[in-house]
Amino acid sequence: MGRAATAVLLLLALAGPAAAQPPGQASAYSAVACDRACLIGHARAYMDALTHQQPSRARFARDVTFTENDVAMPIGKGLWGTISGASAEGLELADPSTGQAAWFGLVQEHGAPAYYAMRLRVADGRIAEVETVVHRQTGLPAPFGEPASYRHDGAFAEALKPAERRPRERLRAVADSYFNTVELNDGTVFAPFDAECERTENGITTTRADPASIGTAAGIAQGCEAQFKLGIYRINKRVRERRYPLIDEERGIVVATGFFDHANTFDSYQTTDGKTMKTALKWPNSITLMEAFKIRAGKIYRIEAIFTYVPYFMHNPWAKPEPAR
Amino acid sequence: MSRLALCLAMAALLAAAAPARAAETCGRDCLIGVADRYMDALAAQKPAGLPWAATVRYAENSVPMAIGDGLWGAISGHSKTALKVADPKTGEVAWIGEVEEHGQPGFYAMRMKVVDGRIAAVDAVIRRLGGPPEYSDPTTWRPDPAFGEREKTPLTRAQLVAAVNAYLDAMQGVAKAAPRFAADCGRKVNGVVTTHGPGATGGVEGCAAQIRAGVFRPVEAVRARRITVVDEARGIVVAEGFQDFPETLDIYAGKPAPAKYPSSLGFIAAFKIKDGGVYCVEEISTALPYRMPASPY
Repeated sequence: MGRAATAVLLLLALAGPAAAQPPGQASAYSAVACDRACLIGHARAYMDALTHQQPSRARFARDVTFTENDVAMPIGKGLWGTISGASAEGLELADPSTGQAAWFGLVQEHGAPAYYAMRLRVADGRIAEVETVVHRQTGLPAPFGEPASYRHDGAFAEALKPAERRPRERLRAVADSYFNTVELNDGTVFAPFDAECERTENGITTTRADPASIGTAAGIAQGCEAQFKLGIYRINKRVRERRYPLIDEERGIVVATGFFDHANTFDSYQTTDGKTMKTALKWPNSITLMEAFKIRAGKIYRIEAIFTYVPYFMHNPWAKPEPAR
Repeated sequence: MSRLALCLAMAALLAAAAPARAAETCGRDCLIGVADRYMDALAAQKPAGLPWAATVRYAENSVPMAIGDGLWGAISGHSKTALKVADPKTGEVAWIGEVEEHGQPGFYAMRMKVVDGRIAAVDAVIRRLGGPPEYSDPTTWRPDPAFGEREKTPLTRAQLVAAVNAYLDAMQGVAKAAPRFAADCGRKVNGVVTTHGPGATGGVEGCAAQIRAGVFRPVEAVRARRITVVDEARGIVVAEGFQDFPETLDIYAGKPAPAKYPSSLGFIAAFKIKDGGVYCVEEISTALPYRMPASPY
């Protein structure tokens, strides 16, 4: 080996592992360490530990990070101290390529129901991150479905036909286009909606005429796209700190988090049909959300959302802060 | 030129003064004048004419945000009646009263830091209609007249702060806390009398009796406390922080817990200390996510 070649090899060796792979990747090769069944197993173990108020029933990383409604706290605090039960079946979602799992369902606190969405990340066989949204009955106006009739749509669990699948970049873009449609909703629709699209919010269907959906958006217009064309969600000044931590190409799933900022600089507005609507609240507020999208053949087919009020412009510690605009 | 205008002009001239002397450049009337100007600008949604510092920190209900956002975009007025407390030694001033958003009233407490006559920080707690905790009609709220009275034998700043901390320690169950109360001590939370009558916390009447009875057992901590404004002549202390309610039990001392789920209350409260003990408390507090972080200043 010549002197020049030796020098090049030496330089490469000195560069170290940090320069050996693209930025943000710990290794140039990553085998899937925890497949779908493994990830959903961790999610079930977490729910089991939570409902028993015994963190030791799940495998946590030593430095696990836990948030509840955008506030970081130790495992064992918050809902861990009040929970008295959880629904037997949850909406279970997984993304082995990123080690993420999610569980949407119902919990009870001292017997009182609350809607609940959780996503976790598994690393080295242990739960390293847990992010949760808990929607309780506080007296503020927000959808809160009848717990006994709460069901998850079976479509979320079904694998798509190959022709209906899309790359994760495209799935993410579709979910983002939904939030672009929600933001400043003035009748402009950026998102591709399936004609049969339906949405559930905190256990209530809000896009289909249903006795339980009286008082929701479904009472004004039915259908995902029709509601946005009417501009009934104009109060959303921003859809902020959007993240898409879980994507499942095989099933066409995206799990997103973020905030709807209701600045409420106005307390009434006109929909595109000329009718006047009143805002639910007269003061600025934000809702923090975790939403699961089912995207079939590139179009939004189902949405299940869990969200709750938080102080206006609240920051999610998992997200990069966004300046006001 | 009025005394207030003269004071503001003086403050502007002294804008380049050394930081150590900065707080002394704006006396009580000056600080209250800045607070009043702020409230008028807020109600008019016109922040541009105010004397802002080069770097301004602003938070509503513990969330940092830009001036102009939040309440600034929804406010339609504020009350003429307010409890105003100033502390020229620290350059801090508090304003407690009522604001309206699109005509709907709510309770409002604001604490402001003034440096060299300029507004450097504003921290506000706003309790709006809907949800817990206590809430009365903000338009009929009046501060206790005792807040306007000067003390004949004023306590020192340290004694005043200690009196408040003893009360807050006792609320969170610190065993060694020994709070002192003046006769007829009373506490209001968002206009609701919580020490007497139907709104009495835990059904127990009297400040001291409530501590003895443990009605604050649901309070895990009075966290991230800041004593920001002290008026020694009038015996007033303004404190802010959080009361954390984990609600791990839904029954305390035979009484139902305030809620079945965890939450925190962010508060700004004014304490009047009389005869060496807490005489009255005006607290503005609002429900926040459990263990909500304090604003970073």
